[in-house]
Amino acid sequence: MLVLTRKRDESIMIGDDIKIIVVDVRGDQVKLGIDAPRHIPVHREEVYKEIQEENRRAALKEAPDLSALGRVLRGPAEKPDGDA
Amino acid sequence: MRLNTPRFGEVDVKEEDIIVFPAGILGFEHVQRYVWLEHSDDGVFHILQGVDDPAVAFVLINPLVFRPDYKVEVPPEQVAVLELDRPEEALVMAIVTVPDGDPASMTANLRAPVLFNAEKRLGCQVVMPDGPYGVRHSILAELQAAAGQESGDDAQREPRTTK
Repeated sequence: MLVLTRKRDESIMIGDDIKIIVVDVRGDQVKLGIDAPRHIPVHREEVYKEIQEENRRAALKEAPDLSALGRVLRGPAEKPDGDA
Repeated sequence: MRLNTPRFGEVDVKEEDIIVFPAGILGFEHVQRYVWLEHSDDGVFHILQGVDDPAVAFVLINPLVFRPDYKVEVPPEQVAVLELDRPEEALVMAIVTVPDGDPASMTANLRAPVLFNAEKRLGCQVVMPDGPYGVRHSILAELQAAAGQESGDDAQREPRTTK
């Protein structure tokens, strides 16, 4: 892993298209600005991992029974007092 | 072209049906092209079927179906890739996770919805900052909560209250 030390307002280039700027440093918090092309997603790592993990759980492993899913949704809507 | 999908058999895909996700979906960046399949009679659930990798497919649901007060709030940079004239024009869907053999426990990811520019056939997954939404909302529980707010008055419908 490459480790670089930067001061406020200094930046790092990753390839030709990605720039990371140290916008502010306050105590143990660093505010980073990221300049990247639109097709490159940029996220906090822990958030990225959480979303990635959930997407993986959601990715279909077998053919979904969409009619069963539809029945689940309609279940609570069919109330005896005829609310529709 | 004919797409051979493991779950939906052979699907006929026209170039103009293909939706491009320039940044892919988190964890599946190798898939940048998808098609939208309709496989349910009631039009509630939709399928996002990977073209670059037919093994990749997701179930989508419009969050407003079970969470009428759902609002996507993200910085405009996250939506720029959709090339929308106005961000409000984005079509908003949530990825559904269906636990094996337990459809009643299905959950929707409201923290990272999938947004589309239907006209330009572009898509992206956005991530909302810490807030009221999580990655696993029980669809059934949300529906029951919404229904529960209407109970107590069967003479007329009361407007849905939002928190």
